[in-house]
Amino acid sequence: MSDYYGANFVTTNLDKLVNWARKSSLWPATFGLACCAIEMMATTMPRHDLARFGMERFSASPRQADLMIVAGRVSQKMAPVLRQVYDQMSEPKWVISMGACASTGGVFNNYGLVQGVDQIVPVDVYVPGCPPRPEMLIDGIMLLHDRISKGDYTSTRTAVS
Amino acid sequence: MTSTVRELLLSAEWAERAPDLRDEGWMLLDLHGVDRIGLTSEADDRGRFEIVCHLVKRDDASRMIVHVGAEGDPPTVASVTHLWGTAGFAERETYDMYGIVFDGHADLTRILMPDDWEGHPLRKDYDVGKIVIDFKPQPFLQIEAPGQAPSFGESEVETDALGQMKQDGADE
Amino acid sequence: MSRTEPRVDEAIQRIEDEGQGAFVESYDPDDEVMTINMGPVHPATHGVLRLLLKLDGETVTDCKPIIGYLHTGMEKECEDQNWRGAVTIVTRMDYLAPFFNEHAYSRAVETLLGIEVPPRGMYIRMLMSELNRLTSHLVQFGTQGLDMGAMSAMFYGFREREMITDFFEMVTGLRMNHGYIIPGGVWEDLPDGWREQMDNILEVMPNRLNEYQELLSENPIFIERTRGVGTITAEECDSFGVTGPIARASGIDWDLRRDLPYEAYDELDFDVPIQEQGDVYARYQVRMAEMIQSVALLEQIVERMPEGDYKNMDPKLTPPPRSEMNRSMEAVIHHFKLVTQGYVVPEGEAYFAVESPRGELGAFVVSDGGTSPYRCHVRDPSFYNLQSLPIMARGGLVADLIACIASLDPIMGGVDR
Repeated sequence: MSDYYGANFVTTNLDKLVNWARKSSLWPATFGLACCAIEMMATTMPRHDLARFGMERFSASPRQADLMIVAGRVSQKMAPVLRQVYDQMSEPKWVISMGACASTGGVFNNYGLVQGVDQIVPVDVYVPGCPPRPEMLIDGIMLLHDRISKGDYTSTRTAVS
Repeated sequence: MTSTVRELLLSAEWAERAPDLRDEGWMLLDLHGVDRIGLTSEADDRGRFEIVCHLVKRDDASRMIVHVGAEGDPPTVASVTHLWGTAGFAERETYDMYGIVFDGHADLTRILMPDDWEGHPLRKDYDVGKIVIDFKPQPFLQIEAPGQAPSFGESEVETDALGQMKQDGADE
Repeated sequence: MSRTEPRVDEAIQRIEDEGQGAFVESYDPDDEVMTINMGPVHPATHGVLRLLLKLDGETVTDCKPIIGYLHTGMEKECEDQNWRGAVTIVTRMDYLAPFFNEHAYSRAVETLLGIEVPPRGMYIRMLMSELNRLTSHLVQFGTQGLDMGAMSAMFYGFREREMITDFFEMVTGLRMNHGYIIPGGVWEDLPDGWREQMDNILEVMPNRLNEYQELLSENPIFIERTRGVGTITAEECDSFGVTGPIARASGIDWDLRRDLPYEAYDELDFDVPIQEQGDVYARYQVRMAEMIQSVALLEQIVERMPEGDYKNMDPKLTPPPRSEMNRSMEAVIHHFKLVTQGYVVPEGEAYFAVESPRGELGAFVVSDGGTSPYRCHVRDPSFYNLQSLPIMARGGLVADLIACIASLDPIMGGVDR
């Protein structure tokens, strides 16, 4: 909208409201691939409770998911599936790359793995670790919340070529 | 540890021996390939590719390892899927990773790599596929290429080839 | 009249061409059988498992597992690391049982090296292995409950797992993928205070395990969903190379810890639970009983933990202590060589198998006399257990298929490596 009208409209309180609503109950899409998936499951468990953010409801259907936490290593065979699920998610959507393998290929630098999921989808937050502790994942999610609350709700991400 | 019986067979011998082993009560645990191109210490004329089969007999807790040489081009071994269901996935994986063809396997297709992948990854002449780490541009530190000394953008200090500051009044 | 309506044909063709979310692979209204794709992204396949199902209404007539979505090239990667570094690769294969991967690999390398592990090293390995068996079975218990709608099982199982991963973190520094069991022994000794932590765990576990029994074992819905479901006979297990709790639930009395003992398992006293029916409920019972046996084993291990070295201190294998390096030139040279190149393993090949929570986990290692493995192949139990899924699923409903997958407990990291 700001692109269309130029600088004629300034949305401050509406921005804040919409961003608060968006970050308050991000529903992650189930994308646990490998070891990081176990730590992601452990994050939803009572010890490190992810339900405090309203995020315990992992959505199997990408249409109802806001956030894709790529938890684990992405192999050559899985890469098109990853892209397809990302495409099926509706805007606004965010991606957290959890773990070293998803961020950069991790411990493995070989023919079998995509060296970093950002080769395929745009990533908002990288969470390092092998696997990252649940607290680290929560830190990454809180970082994402900050980014969402500072964001401009009218802009959409440009398509990745 | 109980000692393991080891056998070295050719493909035709394996096709004969396997049904006997199955009738004796041996259970096939694992079947995988080995590319022997770097193992030059064995002076015998075992070909480049072989498969290794691990069997166990529960009744007397004994293990057996059978090496079966693969012959021809493409290297071929008789399949044992009709005897043990274990071999179904295992032979497909060996085909995928080494290119060893199993005679008699009903569905010899790639199992771990995508269907249109070219090459057989575990062969010794197939490169690991390491990708050189490519650093993304940093706000303060410009790294042009891996291995190069970083330059701090525009700098008034002149550095020589080793990255050390040039002394005032020095030559060159 | 054509087989299908032209516009349905067109729609299917368009979906196939564009490749957008095509789930119905083929549909012929004259034929009752549908081919449906399940996965690889699915909440109830444990990891990235893809299944091609042939369905007659709700009944599964055939099921074909398609794997490879997590193939990491680990066996190739191992050939690129030195003998000590390959432990960090191998540990990530079956990621719910990392100690077992490391154990099998380390033992195989020790066979080639021809070295002994000191008693304390053996006992520490057994301690970590049995704790790992507990965590793995707890996660399986949780996911089995979750898949069948008993979500509380998930929360209970992970609650205990947190206690044990705290202990892992105390000893190894990591909650998962530890890289702790190395050829020669273990990487570091148990820290002070481990005994109290273990006593804590052992005091609490039996009650908690009883809680789980109360939660699910007598639950009529659970029994209805698991009794008689996914049956596999002992002959079929033998034919597919299925080992571990699945085989023991079908009546096969085989446990590597008792029948081909390694480490100091022959000094310990434990039972191997067996069931006869071979269905999902039998597998559940076997796993619950194994957890109780693991607790008994842990009590014995903690009681009998010997003093001494925690790994083989051969200078060609283990870097010398830092204090030594200040005094002796040989110590410096040894340290340098070990850290930069790694040690050399004599030529040969060896296979060693351990009893992991999923079955026989073996490592086959070939050395060409160098500092890195020439071939490192891991016999992963899930790879072979998964082949028995079609047998279990045939004739059952889709909901039964979900129960079967949960009871199979496949770990795709091990399947695809």
